[in-house]
This record gives sequence, C-alpha cells and structure tokens, in this order.
Amino acid sequence: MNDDAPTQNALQNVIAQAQKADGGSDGLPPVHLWEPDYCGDIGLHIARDGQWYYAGSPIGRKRLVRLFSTILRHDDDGEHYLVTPVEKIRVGVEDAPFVATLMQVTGVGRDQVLRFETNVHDFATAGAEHALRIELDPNDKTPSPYIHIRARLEALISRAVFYDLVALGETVDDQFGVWSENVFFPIAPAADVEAWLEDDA
Amino acid sequence: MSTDYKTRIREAILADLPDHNTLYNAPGQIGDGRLDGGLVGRPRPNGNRALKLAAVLVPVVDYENEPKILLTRRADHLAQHSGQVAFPGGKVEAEDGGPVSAALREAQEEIGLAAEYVDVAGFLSTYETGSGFRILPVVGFVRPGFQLEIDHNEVAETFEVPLELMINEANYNRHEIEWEGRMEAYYAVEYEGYNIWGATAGMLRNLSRRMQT
Repeated sequence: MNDDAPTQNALQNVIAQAQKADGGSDGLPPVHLWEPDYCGDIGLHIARDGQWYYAGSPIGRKRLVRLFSTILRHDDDGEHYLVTPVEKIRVGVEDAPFVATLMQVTGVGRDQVLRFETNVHDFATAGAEHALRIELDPNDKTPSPYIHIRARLEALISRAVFYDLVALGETVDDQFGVWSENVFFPIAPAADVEAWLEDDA
Repeated sequence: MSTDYKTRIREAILADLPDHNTLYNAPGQIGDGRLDGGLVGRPRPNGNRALKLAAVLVPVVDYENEPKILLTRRADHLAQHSGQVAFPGGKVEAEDGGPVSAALREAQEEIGLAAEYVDVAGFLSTYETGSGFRILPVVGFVRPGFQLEIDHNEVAETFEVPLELMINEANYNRHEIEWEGRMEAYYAVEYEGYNIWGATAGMLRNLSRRMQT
C-alpha cells in the first residue's frame, strides 16, 4: 500500500503546470484568472519563519519555494492555495505566507521610502499601494508587523527588520509610527512607546 | 550544553537596539585599547576622528546538541584585515534600513546566508576598532539547514567554533605587541589551527563576560 503516491503526483503536476505558466508583465503567472476545482490538502505548510514544509519535511530547494510562491493565492475563504489552470491545493499558513527579511531606506521625513525584500525575493515599497500594518497580541501586546506584497498576500516583518523600522519612527498626533512615500503608518500610541522606554531605563 | 542556552544568551545581551547617539556619535562602549571595559578616556589609536558605523552578525547556529558560532576567514588579498578571522558584516551603508538590516545584508552577500534563517536575539556592546569603526554586534540564532555561498572576493572560508568554548572567559589569552611605538594588548583564542583575535575575540569575550555575571 502506498498512500503517498496520489499526493506525490499532485505535487509533481503542480510543479509541471507552474513551470509552464507564462509570467505576466510583472513576471508572475495570472493566478487571479484561474478557477480550477479544489484538489485537497497534500500537506503543504508555511511556518511563521517563512520555511515551507511538505508532509512535515522542510523544502530546502529555494527555486522550488520561489516557484510555489508565484502561484500562491489568498482566497475569500481565508485560506491560501497553490493554483494552476488545472489544480488548486491548500497550503496551511501559520502566520503570513512570506517574511520580509531585509529593508532599505532612502530619503528622510515624509519623503522617506521604505523598501522591503521577502524571503522569496519579492520587493514592496511601503506607501499608498503597499500598506504596513501592526497587529498587537490581545494578551501580551506583542506587536506583529506586516507589509502588503501583492493581491491579498502579506509578509510578516522579521524581528531583525522591525528593530530598524522602530529606530526610524517618529510621533505624529500622539501616534508613534513611520513615514514612507508620504504615508504615515502608525505602530503604536506614543504613550505606550514612552512606557516601553521607561521600562528599559 | 544545556538546552536553555538561548535563554542564557538573551538574558546576557541587550534586548533593544542601542539608541541613535550610541550608534552614531559616541565612542565604542568597549574596544581595541580598552579591552576590559572602562578606560574610555584613553587616547584612541586614531585620535578623535569620526568613527564609521559597521554592523556584524554574531551567528549562533542552533545545532541540537552543540550550538556553534559561524565565523569567516577573510580573503588573503584584501587591503584591510586580510586573512583574519571575522564575523560576517561590514559598513552600514546609507541605503540600509539600519544596522540590523546591514548585518543581515552583508551576511547574505559575503557568505550567502539567507536572512530568513536568522532570528535576531539582541545586541552586544558597540566595539571601537583602531581602524576607525564603531561595530555593532547583532546576535542571531541561525536555524540549521542553510546553504552557504562564499563570495571569494571577500571571504576565504567559513568555519564553526563551539559556543561553549567561546563563552568560557578562561579560554581567552591576553597578548601584547608593540604597535606604532607603543604596547597594545589584544585577546586571542586558538581553535583547530584558527587564530581568533582582535576585534572578533574582543566582541566574543564581551559575550563570555556577560554570560558569567
């Protein structure tokens, strides 16, 4: 008996289809145009740190992970799927599907520009088109920051990048936050930030 | 090594990024010529010229039974510090999002260590070098499974040293040499033919001292 055979085939099919797919002007396949039937869950999973897993084992091949990332879609049901013209496979996502692991900054003040790079080498500049948002854990108020990448896909901003991000922050109307491309993104109420700093003193 | 070494490191190091003044204006908190902390008033080898901020990654690879520190040996043809053991890292460039992004970018460029494998734990005291840098050591736990790709323009090789060895202050030997007409001291640790000395040993010894107090 071999329970793995159908899922192995499903994965091979997805890879073959994804490799065939033509990228649009942005180099990405037009996943929003495809409406295949749902094919199930074959044990694909993205952990909070951005690592992809297949049936519990880490996927080490970076090119394969990059390929998968280009056919990932976040649907109305709240779930993430790999989609091709003929397949739709669920991907379990622990937090966000991508992680922003590097940040560049140019300019100062309102004209400051924050550009993020993800673990799968997508880029997004925070601003009118790519929102930066912070969620606070309701219990311990731990912040989880996110940057919008494309469609309904976001990247969790790594702890490393968040250190640099907070160092660029300023206070506007009682809110502590950061500027990028003339948009102010609040991180936390200024009073809370002052309290954090006093805790450390 | 006890499995809670991560907690021990987190408790010993700085949880917050040092403030702007410490990073960009102040002397290094420790450094060449003030190896044991203190003595900030000692003349700097380079006088009082402005220091340049650099950031290095102190990569602690999270192997199950024996965590190790990942180090590089710099390429032999470089003008500065050629052949020396160093952390991945370098100057904080104007476009870097900040020193943490800079350390991770440099690690990616020099040895191909992808930033997604690094979980930043905190920071060590800034270290001032005789060559005019103020170095921020960024301590990160590195998830095993990464693949390295060395840029041989900058790095000759990488190697790993047991964390246990480097956090025992007794393993650091103090040396003195005559340098430009006066005696200078430095610390060194020898491991399997590698000589870890100078700023790299100074920063690691700072970690060892923090973990023992």
